[in-house]
Amino acid sequence: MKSDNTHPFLELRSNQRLLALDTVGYWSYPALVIRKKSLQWVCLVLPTVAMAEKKRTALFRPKALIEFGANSASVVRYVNFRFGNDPFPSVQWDKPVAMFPHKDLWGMTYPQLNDAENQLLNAYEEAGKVFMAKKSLPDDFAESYLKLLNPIFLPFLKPLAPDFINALRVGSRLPKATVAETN
Amino acid sequence: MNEIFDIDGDGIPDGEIVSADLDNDGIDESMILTVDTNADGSPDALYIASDTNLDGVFETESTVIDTDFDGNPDFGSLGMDIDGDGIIDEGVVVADSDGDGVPDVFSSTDGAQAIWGDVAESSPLAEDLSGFAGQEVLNDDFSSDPTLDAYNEIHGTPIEDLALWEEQDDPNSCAVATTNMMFRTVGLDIDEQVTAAIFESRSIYDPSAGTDPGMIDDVINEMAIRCDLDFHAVQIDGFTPESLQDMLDDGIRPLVCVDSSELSGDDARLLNEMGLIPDTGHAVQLTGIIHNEEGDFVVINDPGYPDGAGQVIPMETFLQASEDFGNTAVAVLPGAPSEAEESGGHWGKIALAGLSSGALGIMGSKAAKSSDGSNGKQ
Repeated sequence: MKSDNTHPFLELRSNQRLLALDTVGYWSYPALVIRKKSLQWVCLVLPTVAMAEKKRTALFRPKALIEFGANSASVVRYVNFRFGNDPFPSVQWDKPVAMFPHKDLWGMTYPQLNDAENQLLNAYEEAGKVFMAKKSLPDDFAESYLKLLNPIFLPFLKPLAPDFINALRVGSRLPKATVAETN
Repeated sequence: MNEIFDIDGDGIPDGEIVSADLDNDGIDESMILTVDTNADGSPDALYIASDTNLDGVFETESTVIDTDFDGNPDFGSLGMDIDGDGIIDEGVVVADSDGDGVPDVFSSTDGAQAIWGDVAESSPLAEDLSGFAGQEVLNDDFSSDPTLDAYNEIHGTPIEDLALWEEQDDPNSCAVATTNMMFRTVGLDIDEQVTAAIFESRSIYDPSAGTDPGMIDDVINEMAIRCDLDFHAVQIDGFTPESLQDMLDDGIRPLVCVDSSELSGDDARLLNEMGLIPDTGHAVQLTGIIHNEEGDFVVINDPGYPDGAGQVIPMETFLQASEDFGNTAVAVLPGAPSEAEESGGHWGKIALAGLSSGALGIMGSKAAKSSDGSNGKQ
């Protein structure tokens, strides 16, 4: 028999689809991590503020991490950095850390970006196999990833997915100023 | 007072100003300026102004100019400040450029400011519509005339609804501002910060992120009950053009969730020309749908930028931009919810008619709203 009790806990317990995760913002493309011989995807979410007059969107430091099984929507970890477990405690929340679009995307149209994203995402399966076997990444994949990913994600992803960042052979593309501020 | 002046200093009067201080307050309430530069006895220019309500500001101004000195006026204008704010609200310009005595140019202002308050005189809507709709089809009386061509069809009152528009106060408060626009349709005009505070207190609005549209109707309904306000809100998932038209015809001006980067509909625009992240949620108010020989269009009040009132968007572009968010809308309606709305949503049922069975499973339930990806912050 259905209860009239509408306590949030009871509602959630009876219908987990009501779970609300704050994942709104600018997502990184998945970084690869290996957990117990299983490939996982880690994404960071940046808060954004659109600035129509400047034709840019301001990006702020990460607010959340989502980890899910590769090629699946099965979430295995979600962390809202605003409420603790913040891996970047020294980075300020209220100042933009970068702008969208970054320079590698200049001159690209939205359909072109969409096509490029699809191409990158279609390459994840093969990249995952290579990464699982050798902790390296195909050159094409690394090049495409580094072109489409806003570079501001790199220093934040580095402590969370160090093998993946190393495999990208980022080199000088890692913004050093922000790295120094992170843990 | 009567003043004669000699512009070119040849000793022959070139003009005359006649003014009158009707209430003896030291300020002239009427003025007539006559200019006859060629001394033919026929005025080359005539300017008449009058302060009809004696407030020290001219409410009507008219000008007649004979540019070719043939004794026939070639240019005439009349301006009226209807609301007395010192700004001309209605204006008419007539010009005879070829001097044949027949006006070649006739234009008039749209009068939007006089009628609907502080809105732009030449709104983007008026300009955009001029090419394919014509001002007359924006009148409800005309649009409901069955003798008109079926393609000259308009739903809603988008010109009048320019007055509902407000620019959002904060970078992420589009849904808050749009909610306020909806409130105006039911007679509630409150500051955006008040609505923002209510939304924030119910954890559906975060100034740093935006608003969760999936709970807007619930918070509005709670607000209406607590404050004894005579309106209520419903959320519509999976709307169709037809259901939107029905809403507009019933006086509803809903909030619609859209992908702002898709609203321009211009696939050739570069990322660095727009600067908007793909799939970024945004809230706008739908105020009209127009069908004419040029195609199907929607009219929206976009709180996101200063020229956002009355933007005309192709219907297809609008539907694509809203598809990313499940074609979700929120409507504020006068009065208490009907039984149909309480049992599943009147508008939801209307929208349902145009959906495939596969989409029906996510209609009208909070669970679906939370999981279908349509509830990005707006």
